[in-house]
Amino acid sequence: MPILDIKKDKLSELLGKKLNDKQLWELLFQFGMELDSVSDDEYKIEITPDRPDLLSSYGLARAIRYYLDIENPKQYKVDEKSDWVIKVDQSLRGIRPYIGGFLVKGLKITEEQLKEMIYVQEKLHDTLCRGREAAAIGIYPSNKIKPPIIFTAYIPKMIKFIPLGALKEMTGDDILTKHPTGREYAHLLKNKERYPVLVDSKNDVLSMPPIINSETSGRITVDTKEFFVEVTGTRKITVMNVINILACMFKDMGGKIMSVKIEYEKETTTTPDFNYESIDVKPEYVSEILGIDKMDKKTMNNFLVKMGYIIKQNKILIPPYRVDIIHPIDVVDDIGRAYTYDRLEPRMSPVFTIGNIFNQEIMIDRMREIMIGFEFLETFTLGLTSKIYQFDMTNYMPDSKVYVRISKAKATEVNMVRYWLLPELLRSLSINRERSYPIKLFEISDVVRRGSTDRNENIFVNHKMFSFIMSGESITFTDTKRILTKTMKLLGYHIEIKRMNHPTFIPGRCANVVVDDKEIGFIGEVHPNVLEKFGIQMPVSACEIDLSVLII
Amino acid sequence: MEDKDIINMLSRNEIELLKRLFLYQADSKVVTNEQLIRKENEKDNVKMNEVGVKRALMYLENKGLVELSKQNQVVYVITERGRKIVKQGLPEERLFSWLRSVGKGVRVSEISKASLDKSETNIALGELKKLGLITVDKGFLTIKKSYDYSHALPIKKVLQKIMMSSTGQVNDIKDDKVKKELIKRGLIEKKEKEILTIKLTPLSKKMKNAIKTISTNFIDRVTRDVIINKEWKGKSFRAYDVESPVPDIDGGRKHPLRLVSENVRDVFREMGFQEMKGDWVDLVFWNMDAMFIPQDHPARDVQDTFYLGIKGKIYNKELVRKVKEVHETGGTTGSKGWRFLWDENVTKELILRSHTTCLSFRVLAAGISPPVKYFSIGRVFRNEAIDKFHLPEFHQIEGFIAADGLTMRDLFGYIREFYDKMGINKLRFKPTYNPYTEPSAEIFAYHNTLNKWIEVGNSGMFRPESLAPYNINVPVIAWGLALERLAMLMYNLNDIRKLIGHTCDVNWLRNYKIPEFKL
Repeated sequence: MPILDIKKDKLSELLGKKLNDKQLWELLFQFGMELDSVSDDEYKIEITPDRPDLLSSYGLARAIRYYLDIENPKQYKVDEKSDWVIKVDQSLRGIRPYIGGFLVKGLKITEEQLKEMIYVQEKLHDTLCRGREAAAIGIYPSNKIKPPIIFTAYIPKMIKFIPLGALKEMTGDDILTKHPTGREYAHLLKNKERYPVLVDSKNDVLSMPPIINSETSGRITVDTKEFFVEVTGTRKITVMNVINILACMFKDMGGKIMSVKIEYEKETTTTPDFNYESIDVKPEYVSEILGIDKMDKKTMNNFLVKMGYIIKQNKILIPPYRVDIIHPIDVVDDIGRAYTYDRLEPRMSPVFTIGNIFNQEIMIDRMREIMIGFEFLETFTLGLTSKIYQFDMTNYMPDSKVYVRISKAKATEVNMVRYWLLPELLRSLSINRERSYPIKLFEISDVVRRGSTDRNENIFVNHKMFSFIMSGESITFTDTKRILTKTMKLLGYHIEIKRMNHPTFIPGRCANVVVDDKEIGFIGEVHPNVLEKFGIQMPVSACEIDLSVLII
Repeated sequence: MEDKDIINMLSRNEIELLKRLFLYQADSKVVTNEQLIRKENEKDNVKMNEVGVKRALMYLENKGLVELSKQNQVVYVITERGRKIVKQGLPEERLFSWLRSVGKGVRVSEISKASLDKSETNIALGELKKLGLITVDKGFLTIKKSYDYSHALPIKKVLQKIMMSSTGQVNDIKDDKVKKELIKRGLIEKKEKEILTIKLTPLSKKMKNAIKTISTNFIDRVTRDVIINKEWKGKSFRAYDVESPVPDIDGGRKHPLRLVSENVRDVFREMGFQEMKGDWVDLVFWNMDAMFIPQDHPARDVQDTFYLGIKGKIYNKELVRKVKEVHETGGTTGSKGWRFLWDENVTKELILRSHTTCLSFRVLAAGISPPVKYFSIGRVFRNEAIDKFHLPEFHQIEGFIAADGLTMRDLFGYIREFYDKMGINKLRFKPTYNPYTEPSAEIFAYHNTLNKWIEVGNSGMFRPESLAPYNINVPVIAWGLALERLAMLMYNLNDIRKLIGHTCDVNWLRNYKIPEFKL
């Protein structure tokens, strides 16, 4: 979940009210967020991921002001139309075809606000903008730019400008291979013949989205008075959403918003649109979902206002920064948060149904009871494991296509899903080798193997395996065979034990387990060279059979 | 315990020992366990060998009748060879008398006819030569003078004395020369021995008269013979010290997590839920797209989900069409949808399921006739590093109810009922966001020892968009709860690796306490 860092003073200043830590915790809980941590002067707040508009001090404070009735929601409007135009070139098709922008005037920013602008940019890039892929933000001092602006795509070596943080001109290719930011985001332009650029009428390159701004015209400072903000992207809806979130924030900072005209090949739009879309939500629907018996329109509207909606001429208007509202159910959700979940008294409407669990599971329960009767301890080993334990250490190596291989696991050693249980039982024994003997362990659980046909949607299917090991000074093959034979007999199966060799077991002391002419597993004394690899110094006799053949 | 109870608990051995201790005046003199051991030839129907005496003394100590103190003592124990000598004489004696019996001049090769083993023969020849009693010339043995038995007397005397002692050992041998000779010949062994010094306690002194007059005509072990032969008739039974501690015992047991899992299953079955299950490997389609998780959702990232790098198949083309429509435009649900192109190709990728909600959606897709309730307890996989609180796999308790008239309050009601049955009764719901449920609620339980609210699960009502492809026209409330989290609370564990995996301690499996199913 995204985290917002916010200074305590800043929050009080923006709320016009001081909340203590406890009050803030409670408020955030009811709103659906979490106070992650508190330091002397700062909060870290977990922001709900559907609300990127809350990823700035201004956005969060705005929502809290409405929620606590400190202020009624105001309708955001464009202050003035500018004569700025961005012309979008066709060459961007298939690369990064969408753009939006606006100008901010009348803003005297502090060092702290400058930091916040950059912070918000990063936070939005990481979340709503999907790592700058769907959309990317650029902020410029507008006095360095001479409109109209062309948004186009150049062949990389034709792009020449000084990127932020560099001392001399670099080409598009240079930036992606040598500049630290370029390298970080190079994957976004991989295999593109042309890279997007913003160029003004002086032919100066303003930036190369979504990578980096120009040092000459794209660096903002505390002395910047007027800002040009643009958002480019591969997804129109995201570009428009980010524009609206940013425009509302700049407005809250005290700036005046001037719109910019975007000329596509076939259509012309103006951004930001500050579009207050209306949505139809009936009080009955709210009652139906939340289970609040009496919900009239007036009460409902009160809750909506707390959540920032504008009620105008009996219509519910969605604020332009609320990019998460796509269905009336989302509005109902907001009403729930305003009403607070604590007030939704739990109830259980009677729903008559008959409970049922799988017969196979009952059968497996019975098997577990039998094994416990034989004084076995049940283990609960992990499904994720390593080829080292499953195959190398057991001397057993099936075809590489029959098991599930895992790459890029963050957990060290994990590189496959278990193919059989026995190696995991041996690992358990190995860890517990200093405990008192005899040690008798069993497990009835799943392993994953390629299905016998590839007709399954998911190719790899679960098998229910039954495995047990016995370890102690005087344990032999006979002990294991007695347990297996009796257990299967109690379950109504007649098994045959047929001599065979298996690399995990001692030759001549190992056999196939056969039921109705089907080989379902094996049984034997584990070979000392296997025990040695597991660091086990006591004899081990073991068995593993596939129950799927029998009961599933 | 009363004096009478103690007396009733005394075995024949214990009674016999006490009587001897009184006899030996153990209240004023030092008595050791050695003195109490019965000599072999002593007639008694009670077993009073070394082990028997020691055991009986321990029991007496437990009953508070004697006080024992342990010391280590050096002792000289007669060996098998030593015993033989006492019975048959020294090898040189035996060889000499044989030589005398066959007359003069015996071939060396004929010595084997004397009943001595090889090492005895060697010792005997050496000794006889050293004493100058025989000569060996050209393969013939000749007796030179008659045997003087006195030289072996000290050795034989000492050996005899040791053998005749009740324990076959002595604390010291005064004659150093003899001691060395005996050890050299392997006739005695020097050993360290634990000696118990016994003192009568005030309690046994007080009970002296009672003990002296105890009848030993009681039944000790109830054996088969005692029952068949009706030996018990008219007799009393020795009482046992039923209050004394006994050794620990281990048996087979279910795994602690199984116990919790079974409990969860029972609770859901009791509440009318049917079980669901499915394979660990599933398609991205069923794990994500089927329930309206947008295709750019961060959880789809390889960073968080295990991809197999292999594609599966989707046979239901009609369902694919419906899912695509609802993602892109919202279809007929009144939703705007996610408003970007939905790619069928990426949905065919196989992954290890990251939640068991895919099971619910497979059930919905197979067709249900509400009202229905379903649950599952299944393993799910997330690409996480291993630490105290995280494993890349864990169990999710999934459940849903599809029925007319269900609301968020019912969701809370069913969840509260479930946790109540698990012994957790302080719950709070927090609004949250899930792509496929709206409204949604995280479930927090109050941890009484940690004194704070901890998250135990997530829940909500399936969105109209997520239900749209399956023609479900009733509300569906659903949840996903954490099984391991629940188990860790119940067993008071602070490291998940102690609960599950090969790292689990067998001693814990043998000894874990059955949880009260209460937080």
